[in-house]
Amino acid sequence: MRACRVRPFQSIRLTEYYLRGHVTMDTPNQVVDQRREKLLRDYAAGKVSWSTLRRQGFDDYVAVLGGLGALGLRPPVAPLEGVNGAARERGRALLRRALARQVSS
Amino acid sequence: MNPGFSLIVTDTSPLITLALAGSLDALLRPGLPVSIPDAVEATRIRAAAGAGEIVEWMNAHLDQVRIVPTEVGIDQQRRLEEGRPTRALGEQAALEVLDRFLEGDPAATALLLFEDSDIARRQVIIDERVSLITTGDFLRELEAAGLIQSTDYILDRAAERGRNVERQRQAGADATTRLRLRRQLQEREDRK
Repeated sequence: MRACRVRPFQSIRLTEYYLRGHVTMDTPNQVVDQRREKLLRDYAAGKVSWSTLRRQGFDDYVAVLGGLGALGLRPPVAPLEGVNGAARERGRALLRRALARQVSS
Repeated sequence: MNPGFSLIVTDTSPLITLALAGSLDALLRPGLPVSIPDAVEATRIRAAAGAGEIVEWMNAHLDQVRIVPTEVGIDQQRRLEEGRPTRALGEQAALEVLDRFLEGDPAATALLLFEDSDIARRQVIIDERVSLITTGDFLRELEAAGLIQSTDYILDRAAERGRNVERQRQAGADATTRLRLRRQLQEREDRK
């Protein structure tokens, strides 16, 4: 039997198969889907970037949004910290001022 | 509108997210000129679902939104014709636009719009006159100003619509595959 990583929500179904004496093997498509799902979940959690997704074969951001939608997830919003935190703070302040000007005019 | 201050889009993802959420006008709310480098616009937007909406939106706001021609864009076109990779050229084109913008006006300031996950992981070395903003930051500020319902609502809408678009694409791909298979079977029958 081939060893495979089992995600929690799959475990019940797979256990049923094993108990019935079936042997389960992932088809190539399932492996690809599982890999893509893992990448999308990591992306939504802020663990991998859109650049990484592109390197891993997502060449279209619509496919990313579609995948997130299918998993009930949304695109990540990066916390205002880290390497570019100061430049982003400055950007938000500039935007705030521009919006205030628009609202008051 | 302040001509010495520009919002420069460095990647297609903010445009696609807002287009699918039906919220492209959010980009115009600060009243800043919006510059989209040709290499950002050229390939991925045209290929993507929601492209029609983006092009229509650009054409409807030519006074505020402009596609900026770049040398990187010319190189990208050549690469596309020769079937060579074009990855990351959008960002290079954005930097070219930024350089030209800052050189042209010593008092100019610019806001570079990035996708959230990319900016969180990479250090961007920039001029003091340049600030960064992500799609999420942008929406959060609009939300704080009471100009949009909520950031999460827009991001959820983009993901939901993306899901529907993907389903339609897959259905289209399945239909094409079925058609090819039917033709092959028919040809085989005809040969008998």
